[in-house]
Amino acid sequence: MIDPTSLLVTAVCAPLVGALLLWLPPPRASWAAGLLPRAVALLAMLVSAVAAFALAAGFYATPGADLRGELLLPWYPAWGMALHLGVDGVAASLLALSGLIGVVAVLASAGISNRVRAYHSLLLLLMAGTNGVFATLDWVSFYIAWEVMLIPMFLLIAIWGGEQRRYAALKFLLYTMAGSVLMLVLMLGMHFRTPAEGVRVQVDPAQVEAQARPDGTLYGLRVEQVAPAGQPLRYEAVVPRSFDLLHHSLLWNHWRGVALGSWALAGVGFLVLYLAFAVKVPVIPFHTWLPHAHVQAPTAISVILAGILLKLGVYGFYRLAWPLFPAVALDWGFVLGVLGVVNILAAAWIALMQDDLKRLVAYSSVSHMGFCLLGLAAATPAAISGSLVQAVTHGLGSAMLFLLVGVIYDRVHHRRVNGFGGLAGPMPRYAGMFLFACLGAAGLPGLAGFVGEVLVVLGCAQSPAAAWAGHGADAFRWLAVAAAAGVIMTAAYLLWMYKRVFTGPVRHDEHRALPDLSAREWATLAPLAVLTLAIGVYPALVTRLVAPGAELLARHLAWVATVR
Amino acid sequence: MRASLLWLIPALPLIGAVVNGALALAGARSANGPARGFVSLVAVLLPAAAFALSVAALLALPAAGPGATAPALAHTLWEWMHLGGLSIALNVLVDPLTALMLLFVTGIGTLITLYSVGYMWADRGFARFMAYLNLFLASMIVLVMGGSLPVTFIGWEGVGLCSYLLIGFWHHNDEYNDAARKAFVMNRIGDLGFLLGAFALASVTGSLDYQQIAAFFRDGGNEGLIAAKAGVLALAGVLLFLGCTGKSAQVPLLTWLPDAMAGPTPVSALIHAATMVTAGVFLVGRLGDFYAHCPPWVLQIVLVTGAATAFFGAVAGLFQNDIKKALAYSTVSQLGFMFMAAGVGAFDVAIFHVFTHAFFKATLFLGAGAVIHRLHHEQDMRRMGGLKRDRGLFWTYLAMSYGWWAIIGLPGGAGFFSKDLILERLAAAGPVGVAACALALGTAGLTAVYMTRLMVLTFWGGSRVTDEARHHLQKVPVTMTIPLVILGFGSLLAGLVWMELPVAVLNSHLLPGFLAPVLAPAQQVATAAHGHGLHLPAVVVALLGTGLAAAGWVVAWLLWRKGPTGPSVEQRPTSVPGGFGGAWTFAFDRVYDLCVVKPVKGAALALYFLVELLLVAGLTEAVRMVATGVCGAGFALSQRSRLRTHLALGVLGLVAVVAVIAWAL
Repeated sequence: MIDPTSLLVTAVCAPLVGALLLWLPPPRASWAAGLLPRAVALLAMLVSAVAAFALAAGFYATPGADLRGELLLPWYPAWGMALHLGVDGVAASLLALSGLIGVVAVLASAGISNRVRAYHSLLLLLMAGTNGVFATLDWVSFYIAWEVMLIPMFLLIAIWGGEQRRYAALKFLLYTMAGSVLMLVLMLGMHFRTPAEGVRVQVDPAQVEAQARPDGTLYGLRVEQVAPAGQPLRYEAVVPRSFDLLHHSLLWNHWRGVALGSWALAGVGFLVLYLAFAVKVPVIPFHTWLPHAHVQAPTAISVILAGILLKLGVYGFYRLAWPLFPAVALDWGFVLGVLGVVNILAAAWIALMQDDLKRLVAYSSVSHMGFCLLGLAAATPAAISGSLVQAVTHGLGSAMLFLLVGVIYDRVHHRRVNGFGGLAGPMPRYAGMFLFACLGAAGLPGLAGFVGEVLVVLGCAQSPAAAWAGHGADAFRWLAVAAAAGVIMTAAYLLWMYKRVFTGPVRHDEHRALPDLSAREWATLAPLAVLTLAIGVYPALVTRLVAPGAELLARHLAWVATVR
Repeated sequence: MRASLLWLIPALPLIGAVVNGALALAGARSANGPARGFVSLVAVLLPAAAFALSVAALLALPAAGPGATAPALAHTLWEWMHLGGLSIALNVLVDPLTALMLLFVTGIGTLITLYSVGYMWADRGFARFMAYLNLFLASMIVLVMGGSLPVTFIGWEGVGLCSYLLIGFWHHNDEYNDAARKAFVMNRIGDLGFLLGAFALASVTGSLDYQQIAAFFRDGGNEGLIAAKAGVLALAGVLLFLGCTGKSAQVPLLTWLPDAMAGPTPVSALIHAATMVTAGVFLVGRLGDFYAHCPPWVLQIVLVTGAATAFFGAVAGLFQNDIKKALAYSTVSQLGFMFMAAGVGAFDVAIFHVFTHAFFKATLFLGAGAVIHRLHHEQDMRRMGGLKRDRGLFWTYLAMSYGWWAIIGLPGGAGFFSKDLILERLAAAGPVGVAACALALGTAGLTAVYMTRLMVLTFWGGSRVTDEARHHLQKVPVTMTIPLVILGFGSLLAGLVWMELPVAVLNSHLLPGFLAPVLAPAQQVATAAHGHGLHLPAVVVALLGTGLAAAGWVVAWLLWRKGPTGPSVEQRPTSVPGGFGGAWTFAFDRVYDLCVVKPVKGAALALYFLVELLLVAGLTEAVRMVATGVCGAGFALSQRSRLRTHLALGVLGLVAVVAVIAWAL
């Protein structure tokens, strides 16, 4: 059994090594231009995926909210800078998803024919960046990994994209950078505003219980039990000035007392992190970059975009926004829930009117990601689990849909819903697969999409978050009902699209002889489809990984609600 | 049979679906598709084996004990989900109610699959059809065998999916696809009700498991809690019933069912008559203990909905020229009868009518299918007539007459027993029940009229078959005849299961006694809530019912013996009714189009253009302007210079911003 740290490092570094290898001057042989980069990229992603799955398997075998595979390399100790790697079950499951999507994306890149080497090296760099985000526990390397994936993504769209690729890439870059630059400012500001001697804070017993080491330290800090006169026992710790995200999560109460102009720093901080990650999720109205980027990006990049990049936003909420400023998240819980529901309904409604297949699937992504925000806002174990499960399963489902759109685009070079008709005749297997993916997205029970949605909806129904935020206790129930109503819209727009593309008479004679799915296309679709079915029938495959982390966050939020 | 083997019952048809589905995909591009013989064997034998196992499960049921719970076999596969203290297991439950449903689902399912072998033999999509049919059976079995609401929901959505796939089976036809989509989306509205209702119910009972729900309501200690939570329970009851109206095509979610006749006829017989559409009645019966403890107005909603639907369907059935549509409205109407029974707490009678209806309506649909097959896809009754003289339809005519005898409630037929019981129970259920009983009697008379009209126009009277059809008569194969005849005799005999035999041992296994441990406690509670009604003796009801049926027979014979009334085929080539008939038939469609479809599409368009293009695009421009202002040079250059320069400048600009803001902090 390989230790978790090696697995984690392998998962992050394999794509990085692959990317660097591809920068070496290639041999002059003819295969070196096309075949070699593909082989290197596939191998690197396979290694990364296997390592990530092995890591996730560890969490499946022994579930827990503890952090594993931790690696702490002091970097610039005077400033409290250190490279801190480590994952919990949530990060591990997203890392596994990332590995799988990476492999699929390399396989789906077979159609790329110009500058193959540069393309694959950028793709690997992008995957190294995303894996890095999931793997780090300190803010500096989180930020670096976050920025590392922006530039390759920008270039991949700008060079290998469609006709308006420059515009789309720029829009992507501006939106995401606008979000992340503020995050950088916040990071520096919070670091330097922390007193040099550290801050003494009260620690959540749940965190101690779940994540303290056997030697009694929590996140490398000594935790003391103190009994103030007339009060129950409580845990306290002194948090030094640091970039460690775990340390920052202990400081939540400190920032509520620090003023920034006329606001508390906590409020500003949450807003900044919310913006940085809401752009990625994306939450309406910060979503307009997404349809553009999808429409212009090549298929494999759309797959990565929908399969992994959007999940980074959810992960950012889970790892930074909520833990760093839990009290603000609670205050705004209902508003955030409303934003999630608006995402679900408005994007589904807009998807109904789309004529470009990719735009339609992109809006369906926006709609589905609304469940992630809603689940986090509801702050119950079930809802947060659901939100994270939804992140994973939507990664599988949307990747499948984008691959399928790519299949038809490769053949006929357009994606207009109304420019097809009757494709089920010439391409029955393709039609069957597409229907499967649509049903998965529409949340059919027994397929993966159902699990996250039902967890979020039920979690909302039980949520105390509305009461914490000072609203009526029933407020979240109505959100649950509204969110659940979204599944009707989903079925409506997906089946309407399916009808126009696949059924009826073949409307264009040149479509009669279209070839059905090729072996390579099957290879990209099959793993996603199998997992979609497996998770739907046996959701424990994911819930065992994410539930402990979700439960810890929910308990933490409940504790914050009592002590704030 | 051991409880741990129960999962085999749904698994067998599922295997059939997977095998035939794989064969269909593998042979997708060949001229004829996979070998039909093998496909048929898989498709028929596996459901037959499931039927055998269902019989074994029935025989293995333990004897009813004196306790509060019904005799049952239960088995849990694994925990499906864990939701905040609420565990949802994948579990199966076979108690008398499920055993009965299983028997006719697998039994009639196997027969109709056999019939489909003959009916679909020439179709290119034979294997695909058989795969869908088996998948449907697996889903339907899950629906009735589920031990908890979420497991039932898997089957519930599964049958909806199969219904979608099979209605749109001939997917080259756009109208059929629209019908399929309509069915799916309308069912989804109901499904949303199901899901929300289930959660609302669980918030009171603390469990979604049927046995635990029943135990919760039967426990006298919970009465205070039930009374305190009456509002939530009522909400749950209404929401779950919304799910039933979707699946069982009740007012207001009924218009998908007549459109669903676009599917091949065996599908109409199996899914849209015998099994799936009765799922709503099954669910109300399954949750009988819960409904009995809801505030009484909840069951009254069920009663009123059922009465309205029964009447609407019967009137609409009078105007149909398409033989399948006539039967579809008849199904809608009969489902209304079942809900009326459930609405007065007569759950056992409701289930009994589900059982008898499955036989006679399947017979009628399969018979209609044989006629359509014989006449080479002719469905318009204005081009039929006199077919009883066609030797090739001898068995069809025989079976359909039995089905007709049974549905209009003439003595001896299956409907005679179940419909009379419904009338009897309605009359006994207080003033509302008496009113419903009067309406039901009228509807029963209408049933006799429209069903006799169907027989007159199809089999009796003079022939109006076109010369073209007469020259291309297709043989009705034996695979179609055998199920038809078996089900035909079933329509005559199925009613006998209610009869009380003097032998005590046998009696205990006949229907009322058999279902009593599951349903009787709920019925006692529900009937206790009724006011005083009429206690009509069975003989009176039987005489009334028979008299009405005979009267309807005579009326229809007098009206239509000379052929169809209304516009002729030349005047109105489409079989869709016009005039008052059309207005009545499509009233709901028109309302939906005006109140739902058009507003939703309009709002989608408005949302897209207003929000997406104006508001958000405006925001984007604002962001761009700010960005231009801040990173000025970098952005301006990007318009004409190289990417690299642009990036470098952009990064520089960002560093500058960071420096400024960090300094400010």
